[in-house]
Amino acid sequence: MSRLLDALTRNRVWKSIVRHGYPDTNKNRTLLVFSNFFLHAHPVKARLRAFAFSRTLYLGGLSIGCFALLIITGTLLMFFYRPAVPQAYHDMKDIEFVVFTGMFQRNLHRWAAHAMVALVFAHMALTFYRKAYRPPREFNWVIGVLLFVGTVLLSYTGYLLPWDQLAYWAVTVGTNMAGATPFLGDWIKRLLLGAGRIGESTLIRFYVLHCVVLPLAVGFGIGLHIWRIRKDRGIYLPPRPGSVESSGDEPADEPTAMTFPHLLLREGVAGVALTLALSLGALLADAPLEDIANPDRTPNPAKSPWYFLGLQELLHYWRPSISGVLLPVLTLVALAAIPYFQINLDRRPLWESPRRRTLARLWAAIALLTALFWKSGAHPVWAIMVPLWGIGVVMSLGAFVQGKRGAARAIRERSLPFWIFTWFLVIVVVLTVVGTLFRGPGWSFVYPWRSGLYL
Amino acid sequence: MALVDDLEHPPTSQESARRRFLAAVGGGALGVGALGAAITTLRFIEPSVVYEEDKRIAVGRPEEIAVGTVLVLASGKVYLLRTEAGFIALSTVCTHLGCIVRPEAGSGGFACPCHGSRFRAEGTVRLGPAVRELRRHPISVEDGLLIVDAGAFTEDRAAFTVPA
Amino acid sequence: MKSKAPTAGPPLHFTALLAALAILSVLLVATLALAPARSYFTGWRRIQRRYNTLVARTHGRPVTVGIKQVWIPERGVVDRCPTCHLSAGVARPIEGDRLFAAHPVIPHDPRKLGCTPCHGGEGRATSQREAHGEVRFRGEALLARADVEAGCGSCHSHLPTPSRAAAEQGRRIVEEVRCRDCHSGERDLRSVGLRGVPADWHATHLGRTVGDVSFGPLADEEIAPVTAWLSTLVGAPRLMAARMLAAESGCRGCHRIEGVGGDVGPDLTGEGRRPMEGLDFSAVRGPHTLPGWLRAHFLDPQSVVPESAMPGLGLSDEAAGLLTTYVLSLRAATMPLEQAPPDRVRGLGLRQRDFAADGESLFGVFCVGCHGRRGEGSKLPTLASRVPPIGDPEFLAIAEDRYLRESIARGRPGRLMPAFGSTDTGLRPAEIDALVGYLRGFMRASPEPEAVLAEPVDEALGLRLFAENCAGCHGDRGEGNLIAPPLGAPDNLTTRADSPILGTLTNGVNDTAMRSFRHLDARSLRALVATVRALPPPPMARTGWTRRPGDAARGEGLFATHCATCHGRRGEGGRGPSLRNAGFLASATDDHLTASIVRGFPGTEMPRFGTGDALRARLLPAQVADLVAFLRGWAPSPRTPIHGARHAR
Repeated sequence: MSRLLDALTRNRVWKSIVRHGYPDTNKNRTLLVFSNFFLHAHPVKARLRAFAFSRTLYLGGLSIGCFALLIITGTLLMFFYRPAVPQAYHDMKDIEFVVFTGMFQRNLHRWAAHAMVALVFAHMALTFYRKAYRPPREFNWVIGVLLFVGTVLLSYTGYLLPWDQLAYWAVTVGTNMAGATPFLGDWIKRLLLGAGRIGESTLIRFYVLHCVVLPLAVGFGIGLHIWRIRKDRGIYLPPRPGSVESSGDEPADEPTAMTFPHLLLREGVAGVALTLALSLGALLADAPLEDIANPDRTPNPAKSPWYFLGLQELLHYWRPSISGVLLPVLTLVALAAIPYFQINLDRRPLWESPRRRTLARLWAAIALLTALFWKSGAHPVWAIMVPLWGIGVVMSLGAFVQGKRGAARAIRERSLPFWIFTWFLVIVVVLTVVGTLFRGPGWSFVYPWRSGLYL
Repeated sequence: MALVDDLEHPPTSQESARRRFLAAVGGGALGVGALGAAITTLRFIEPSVVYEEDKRIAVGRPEEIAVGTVLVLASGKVYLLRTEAGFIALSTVCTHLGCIVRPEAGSGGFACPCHGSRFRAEGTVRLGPAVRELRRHPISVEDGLLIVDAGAFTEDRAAFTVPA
Repeated sequence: MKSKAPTAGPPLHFTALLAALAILSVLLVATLALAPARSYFTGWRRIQRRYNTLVARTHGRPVTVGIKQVWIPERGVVDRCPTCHLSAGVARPIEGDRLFAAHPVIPHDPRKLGCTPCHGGEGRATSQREAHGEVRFRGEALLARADVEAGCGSCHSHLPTPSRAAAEQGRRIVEEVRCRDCHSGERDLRSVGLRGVPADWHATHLGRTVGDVSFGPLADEEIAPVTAWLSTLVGAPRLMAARMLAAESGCRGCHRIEGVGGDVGPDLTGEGRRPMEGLDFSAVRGPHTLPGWLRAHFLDPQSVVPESAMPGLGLSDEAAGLLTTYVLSLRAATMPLEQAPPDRVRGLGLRQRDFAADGESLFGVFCVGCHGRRGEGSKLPTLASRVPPIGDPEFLAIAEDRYLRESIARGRPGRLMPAFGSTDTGLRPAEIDALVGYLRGFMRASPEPEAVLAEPVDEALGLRLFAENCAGCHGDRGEGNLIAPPLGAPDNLTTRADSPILGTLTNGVNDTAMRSFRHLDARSLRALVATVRALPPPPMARTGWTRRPGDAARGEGLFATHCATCHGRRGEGGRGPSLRNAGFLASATDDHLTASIVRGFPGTEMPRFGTGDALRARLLPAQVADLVAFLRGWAPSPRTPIHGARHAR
């Protein structure tokens, strides 16, 4: 066996391709990482603390893993897909019915897309809590927000391609949302649709966006994102107790380990685990394909993909220019602005200020917001108000609990931005869950355990 | 022959002014070009013609459509009502986000399956989130036939009456 | 770069992670191997292997294992059914095997037509469950064996459908004259109706001599029924039975089918292939399929769709099954006309009817659903108002031909009655006239005058009938007034003798409010004649009598008191129909209005104002005239009917 390996590697051709020896010495391990195009984003040695799973949950890496799977399965699907009406729908059926492992590829593509949206969002949330956008990493956070937008757009443009009822009406809702933009709405809609309403011209546009423009943009964005992390000496790690935080250079006594094999092994395990999970999903659950798109008949209920159902739920309350344009844009701007205002970085804990006054202000703000969300929409927005009250109560506990450890301390020491961001996360989750599970025909409120799921 | 980096030597003030000017001209030109290219590209993507079939529907002789009649046209996308005041062609495309509203049992109005808006029979909003009443299609009479143009919309709120 | 062994800090778990990688990798490869396995180990592959094993026993030719499909691009047909149903055009049939047996002989070649156009189902699918439409969204339902003839409707959308009675009569005649003695085997008549039965077939047939078999001519009145029966022979007996049942159930009164019919209910064209989306199965017992839903809906519409206005037709299980087959056959055929079968070309291209055009058949096609088989009227579920009994002799006595024609052609605005004459595809003038003629048949035949006059005279009955039926217009003592002439002899020439009075009573007087009273029995008629004969001489001379218009201003007040409760304050309708619409006012003459007010609308809530009752005051003739004048103010005058006048002559 080893003789065979030797014969394979000890010749000029092999050595011209792989220009280092077998990675059994640190020199060769260094060379492996250093001289390999595919690994050049890695440092030769990484800080030990960065290895810990609990620090990042590998969310960023898993997102990239999804992206890679999507590129592969997507390219394969392109071999059988024509972006034309009605061929697109028939091609989907052919992919499902006759293409060898076509159903599996399509399922994998669909579930990886969903997973990527969720992972990227989770990655963003964790980055906030870890305060990893600390200078000089502000702009990389912005790139990350843009990558999130790119991910959602990728998923959304892909949603139309099967040309079934689900696709058609989700995209109708989405493009009309874009059409509600003040001043530019009609122009944007026309640009997206390529016509007055969704048709073949829309399909080809979404196809080009989905298969060429957005993957290139997101791929480039990922490269930039990683490159900047590398230039900032790896992922952000909080200063160790006792050492002074510097602008990026780790202190000389920070323990490190070789990237090969330790970091690569971890990445390998994560990648294989992700592929395994998604493959299992693709084997067990089939991606939906409904009846062919019918512009004359809206299914009831007509639902967007799940990651837009929170937005669709909002659309139930306010006009599209608010729910569909103003709120998302404001949210994105606010997210992008977080690092530039040092939000959540150096804030004092909320309960350092005089307790009574803070309490009064807090509940005055909550009352104001409650009034706002009760009255401003077509219906009271419970999905926003209930989390608001819940968080308010938890926050207020901080004024009374005394403990020096555990949950009590955690509650006492959080800053206001922490709570606001958490509120935002809870709203996103609650709105999405309500839109997904609790909405039935005519967007009426239903209990899934009584009337079943409307998906 | 050795090349000399002329940035190594401090320039004369005239030389720096010249450099600034040239940089401004070059950069400006490229900037204008990039902006122009961006606009042109956007205009390139924007469709100049639209492939859509003629959606004018000849309904029939107006005098043969009695007051109180409701006609369903274009497979449910248009409701033609003849009221006391005249003809109204309602578009059933929801003014909220473009789903097709359906007749609602009981109320005589319409309900949207996407976000739950409710409309009255003549198209006004009964329940949000829609804020605008159902849009109307222009109606005309040609050769004695009532024509509903389902491809266009009108802001005219008055019911159509056949000109004498 | 100096390498420095980490002296402190957590362990890196190298071996454990390597183990995790190994285990996960093995699992991943195993999982990934399942995907091709799932695509490889398919039902159809097993079936084809089985075929090859079976065929090897008889030294037949095996098939190459793989997906087989019929592709007919111009029809958009991609059918992979032969992948399993190998005998359908791909391989030699194996008799006795359920799957590989030969297809029954049909007039079509499956290789040219495909499978799904007839059988339904999802042609692109390659698994049984999906191909047969048993998976939601993943396949269109396959037509069950019982409904398979519905598939013919994919192309044969306009099969001419005679009335069941005619076809049945034709069948009996054919059996009597023993046509089948010759027409068997080669000359079988099985699908003679497919190309359309030529109108002159009988003459042509007579011209032929087949051997020495004589063919006696049919009686003239026998030709039509036999033609009707021949036209049902299309090789799809169940479909024809279903179509004949549908044609006498009045579906098209409310539903538009292939462009013809009312717009009260949903258009049924294509209903046989409607998506299951939106169907509520919560009240459907039995299979949750489109046929299951349709059958449950036919048996009890409101249990399935609570807000449905569809009348319960009181169907037997079998009839509901037939109508289900019928609806399943409405498959919204789309094909260029040059590829269409003859019946579709005749229906769409030449605009020939696919139903018989006699009055009775038309009544079955359009009216029966709401007005009942004998025109007895009905109460539609979920609707407050009743459907008027248009077969009621009293109603027919009031209604002029022209009023009936206009109501059919223009509908009753504000009511469900659609305007059947308003579009190209609606009823044609001749058809409307045939319908009116058929309606007139519901009126009782006039009794023989001799028989009536021979009846004994019942004075009390005569006085009561006069008060109920005549006094409203002619005055309590027949003295005449604004709207009707005096009756008393000697000035009134008609009333000088019994028989002219009887004639007027049974026939009415054309173009006046005086309608036929032939629905009364002979004894009543005799009594009325006697009462009229006995009327005192009128105070004013007949020669001086003219009809004078009422006073619209007074009529307005009367309208508010007596009519507005039901017809709306401005006549816009409510419980009663809208009166304020051009169509109605144009077709209703002053006399019709007068008669309706005085005599009411039998079978509906419109009371007899001419006599009054416990709840309502009686309106005097002058008041009726005022009311008519007021109503007339909404539309200047009745106009020429849209058509019919020239046919009526």
